[in-house]
Amino acid sequence: MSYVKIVDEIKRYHMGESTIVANNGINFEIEQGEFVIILGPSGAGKSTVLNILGGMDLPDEGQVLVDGVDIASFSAKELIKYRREDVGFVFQFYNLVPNLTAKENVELATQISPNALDVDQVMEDVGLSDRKQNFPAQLSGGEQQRVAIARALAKNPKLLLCDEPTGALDYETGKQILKLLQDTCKNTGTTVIVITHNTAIAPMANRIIHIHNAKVRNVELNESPMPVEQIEW
Amino acid sequence: MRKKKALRKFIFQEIRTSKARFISITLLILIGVSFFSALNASGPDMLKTAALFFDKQNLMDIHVVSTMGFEKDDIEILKNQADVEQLEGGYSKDVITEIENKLLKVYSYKNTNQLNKFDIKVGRLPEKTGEIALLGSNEIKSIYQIGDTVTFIPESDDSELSDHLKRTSYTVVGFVTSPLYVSEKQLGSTSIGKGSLDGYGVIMAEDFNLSIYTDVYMTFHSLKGVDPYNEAYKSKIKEYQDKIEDSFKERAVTRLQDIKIDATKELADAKIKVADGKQELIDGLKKLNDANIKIQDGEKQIAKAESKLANAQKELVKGQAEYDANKTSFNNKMADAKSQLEAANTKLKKEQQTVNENIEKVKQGEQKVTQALTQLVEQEKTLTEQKTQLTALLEETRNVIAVPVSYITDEQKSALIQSGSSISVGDSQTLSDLWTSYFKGEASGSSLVEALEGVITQLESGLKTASDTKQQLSTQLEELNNNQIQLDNAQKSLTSGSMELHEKWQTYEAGKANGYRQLAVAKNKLKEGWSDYNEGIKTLETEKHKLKDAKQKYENGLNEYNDKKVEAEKELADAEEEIADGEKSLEDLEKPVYYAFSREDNPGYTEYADNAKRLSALSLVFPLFFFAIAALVSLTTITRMIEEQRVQIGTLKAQGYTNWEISLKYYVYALGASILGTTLGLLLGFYGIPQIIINAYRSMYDFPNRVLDPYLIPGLFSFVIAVFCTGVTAWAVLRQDLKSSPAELMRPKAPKLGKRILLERIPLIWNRLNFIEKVTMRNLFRYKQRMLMTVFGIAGCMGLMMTGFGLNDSISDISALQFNDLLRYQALVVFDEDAKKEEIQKAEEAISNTSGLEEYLLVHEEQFEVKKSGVNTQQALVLVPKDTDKFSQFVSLRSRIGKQSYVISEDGAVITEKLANLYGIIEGDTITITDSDNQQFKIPVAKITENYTGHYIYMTPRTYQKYVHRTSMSYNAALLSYHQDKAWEDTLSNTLNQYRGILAVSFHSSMIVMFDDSMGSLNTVVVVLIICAAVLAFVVLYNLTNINVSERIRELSTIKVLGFYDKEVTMYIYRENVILSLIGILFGSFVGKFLHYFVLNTAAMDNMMFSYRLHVHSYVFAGLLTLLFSSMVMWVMHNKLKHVDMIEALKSND
Repeated sequence: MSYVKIVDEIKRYHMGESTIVANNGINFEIEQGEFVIILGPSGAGKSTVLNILGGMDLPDEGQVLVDGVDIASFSAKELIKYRREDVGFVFQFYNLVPNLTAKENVELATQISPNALDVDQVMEDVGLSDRKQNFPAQLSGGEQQRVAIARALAKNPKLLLCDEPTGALDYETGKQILKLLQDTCKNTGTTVIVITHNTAIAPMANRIIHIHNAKVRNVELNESPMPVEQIEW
Repeated sequence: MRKKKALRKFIFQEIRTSKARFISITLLILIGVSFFSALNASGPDMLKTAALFFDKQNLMDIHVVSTMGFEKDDIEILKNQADVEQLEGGYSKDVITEIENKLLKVYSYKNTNQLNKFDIKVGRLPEKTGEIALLGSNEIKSIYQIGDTVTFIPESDDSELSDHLKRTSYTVVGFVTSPLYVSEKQLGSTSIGKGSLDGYGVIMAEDFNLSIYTDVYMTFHSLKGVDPYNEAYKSKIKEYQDKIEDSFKERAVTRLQDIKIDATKELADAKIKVADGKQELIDGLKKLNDANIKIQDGEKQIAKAESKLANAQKELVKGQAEYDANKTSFNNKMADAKSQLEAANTKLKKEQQTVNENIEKVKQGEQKVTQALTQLVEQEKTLTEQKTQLTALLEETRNVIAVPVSYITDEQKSALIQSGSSISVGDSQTLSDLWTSYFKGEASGSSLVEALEGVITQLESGLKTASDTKQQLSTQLEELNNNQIQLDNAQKSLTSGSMELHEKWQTYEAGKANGYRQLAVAKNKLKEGWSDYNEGIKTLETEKHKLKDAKQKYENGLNEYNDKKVEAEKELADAEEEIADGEKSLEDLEKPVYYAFSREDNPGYTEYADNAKRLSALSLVFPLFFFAIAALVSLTTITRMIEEQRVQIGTLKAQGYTNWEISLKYYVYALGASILGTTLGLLLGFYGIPQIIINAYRSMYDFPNRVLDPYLIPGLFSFVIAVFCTGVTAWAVLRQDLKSSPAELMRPKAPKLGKRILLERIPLIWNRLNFIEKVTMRNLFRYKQRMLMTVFGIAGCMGLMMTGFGLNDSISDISALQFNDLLRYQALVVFDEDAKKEEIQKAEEAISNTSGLEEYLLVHEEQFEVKKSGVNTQQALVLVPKDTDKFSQFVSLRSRIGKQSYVISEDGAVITEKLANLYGIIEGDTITITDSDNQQFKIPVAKITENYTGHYIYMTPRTYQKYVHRTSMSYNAALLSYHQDKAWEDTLSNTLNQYRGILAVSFHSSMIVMFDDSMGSLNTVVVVLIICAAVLAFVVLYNLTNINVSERIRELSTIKVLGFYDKEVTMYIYRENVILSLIGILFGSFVGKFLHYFVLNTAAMDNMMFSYRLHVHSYVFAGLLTLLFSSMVMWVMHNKLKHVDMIEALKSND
């Protein structure tokens, strides 16, 4: 049994009179501890998949099984609980609370998470031990994304979902962030799912899911993922 | 053109998509404007409504009243005033209804009346005598219906309604209101009964029994159509009032003189009448006494007459007897006289006879004597022979006897006895007998001797006698001769006697005739006497009868007199007293005073204006503050809106839109909202809310036609402020943004730097906060502007609500504070200083004897003026208690702050707070008071005491005498203290008002009612205020929270994604709101306190102070309401946040 299993998932958005089908029968599986990259062009429906996986949205049809539980059938409250305990989310634009220091931003997550990790340890893990007391505005983009990752990881989630985590970062910083994510996956066994339209980084993943036109075009399995340092693009 | 079209579409789309914001701005402006304009309009509307009514009913401008009514000359003076348009005289009289003892003022009505026209509510005005139209208040209508009969009763036993009214019962024909009264609850005072009117009525003028008008009403040309609440009107009226009062100065003097002359004459007449009365009494008594005397005299006379009659009767009886006796004696006399005469006659005849006889006799005698002599000589011879025989016999006898008898023979014896038979020896015994006896032995011989001796002696004596007789006869013869002479003489005297007798007969006859005549006369007299007597008796009977009648009459008269005397004496005493009173009052009689009253003297008129003004005063600060909050919040909203759309602006700018074209949208949006809000607000403010406010006063003041007018200034002001707050804000913010380049605009605005807050440097506190609290704290200080705005908004709303509640507190507190805590007496009795001392004494006794009364205190009460330029002249009441120790039981003197108690001492006066505030007096200063004669007195002020209505100056009697230079001071009023109900008070009032010495009795209870009534209507305004504040609070909170949420939507989405439960998300942001609300409430408490104070200061009248105390529950209510609105907003926000599309928010980068 796969750790994550999406079965015939359909998601439609209603925009006035027209209906947009964002996901039209998505099917894929992910094993625990895998580093997964979901690839696809803008508007293909990958973010929708991620949002559904992250418990931020519910599919109209189909099953979304995470660790054997179908979150598609969750109530709003169960969804929040799911987000609270099982999911870490990293956005393209970090979405840090500007009024909180780096550490506090992390603490924001650990406050509510039952199996939270030690904040300082996590901060150290993401390489921000000495920036803990800084406010987001005082941090560079990479640093901010590190804080965001730390915030996501500190909850000790079952899934770490990253939506274009490097989209707003320069090449080097992006690389470092991807490395952090890869290392995290490797070191902690956390299942990491990254959305990107950058196909170049696909080799670093255990599993690459291609989404096109609201459907999974194909799923590649990579037995030996490449360390990100070795990938150039 | 196409571009413009797109633009227009764009603008409206913006409005459509942000409906909530547009509406909230509109609403904010609407609330602010409507409240502002409503409070501004309500006051003037109220005044206009009243003015319209007054104008329609042709209310007088000046109401002239005189202490003595108006005579022709008085009316003339009034007619000659300049500018007079109309002038009408009328009558009025305060009466008591038989049912429920309501006090009504009754006015006269003529169908020609033009002024003070009654507004007919139901029915009609009186058309003929005996009809009445009454005030159409609920109170009156609950007693009388149309068709009922109203009966008036005299106010006291010694007063007569007929002095004023021709009849006492009237048929109700309608219900009306008079423009003379503004409120049907405030009807002014009256000198009768409980002292305050319950209503009024109108009857035909003919039903009044008065000869001169009691009231004169006037209007003036130049005041026609002038707003009566205007200063111009007031100053003009004041001028006219002064002029009228001035023009009566001389008239008052002459009228007094006239009255004095008339009255003096009347008094003199009355005096004469009294004197006459007294004289009558005396006369009556005298008459009675005279009658009594007469009766007594009569009785005496009758007694006399009776005795006289008795005497007369006696006399008559006596007379009769006398007469009878007289008659008898007369008859006897006459008979006697006759018999005498006859006897005399007989005698005379006898004597004649005798004489004749005697002559005969004498002749015979002479013959006899001559014969006798011859006899005698023979006899002497016989005798001498007998003697010689007897001597011889004797010798024989002696011899016989000497022999014893036995010896004597019987012959001898018979011889002897024979011899002896011719010799008688006396005692028819003859010597024979003696011899016989002797011989028989029965007689002694001596006795024979003796008897013979005797016979011898006898013969001797016979001899002697014969010698004597011879002698005698010789004398006799002589005598006879003499007798013959005598007889001749006798014959002579007999003849004269006969003649005498004849004369006597004649005399007798005459006497007899005379006597009979006299007797007849006497008889007649007697007869007359009897008839007189009888008549006398008869007369006496009638007299007696008459006397009896007279006596009866007298008795009756006396009884009547006695009966009437008491009455008459009482009447006389009364009359005298009345005269004395009259004289005294005439002496004291002051010039008639003519008062020219203005409308402001009408009951309730000023209160109404004050109420309106109070609203205006409220409108000054209140809505402005309100408005300010609304404006600020809309300013914030617009600012936020423009900031949110920086990128859009930048995009448009980049596409080449001009600044104007870009701005247009915001201007249209902002101004659209504000103009719409203002317009709706003004409509609501001018036509909606005033209706509610005026309605609130309806129970007090109900005018038939309401005036709801728009007012330019508040309208314009609202407009300007609204436009300023939105349009200018838009302009200012846009100006800033439009200056920037499109690139700059499109770049996200550098996020606000997170900053450590001051609190973090205080680890003691900071470390104790949990994470979320820290976050909250940080956030609080992060959005300082909004925080301030929120605090300010909430504080403002809190302040407004508190002011509302506080006003309520202050208003409702005053009466309790003033009439319960401070003035602790329940009633004030004012004595009539013009009344007599005894009357006042009596009144005082009546007070002290009142059962149920706890205590009373005599005071000296006097009105003074306090003047200072720049301050309205104030009336202050000086109260001087007789017993300063007891004073604290009646008036509590204390500082308002700290509640420190004071007593009045010799240090100076204790004055009330408002008075001190108005004149800037502090303890230790002096206050200058002016009396009615314009005399000024300076009094040191010892203490300033808490007080809410009116001005009082309290001092000890000594202080009063020391500083107010009066030598004498009368205690002219009494304060009464008791715990009783209204019914008891009514009874007391009725009782006390009967006393002449009492001028007025006023009760705090009725003042409380009046006060609460007047203040109660303000409560509605307060409610409106609270509701508006509440709505504002809600809108402000909603708006600010909305801004907060939209500004922090990413943050909120983030934590949502992080797995914050909905509640946690709401609380994440709302914790701040709660804190801000709490801070706002705290801060608002101060704002409220200040605002409350400020409003009270503005709204309070010169002679009134509100209680500045805010009740705890006002804070609590206002705070709870604020929290309630905060919760409501939270709930709304919570629902909104639940549906926030977190993904959308997180995708973009702004």
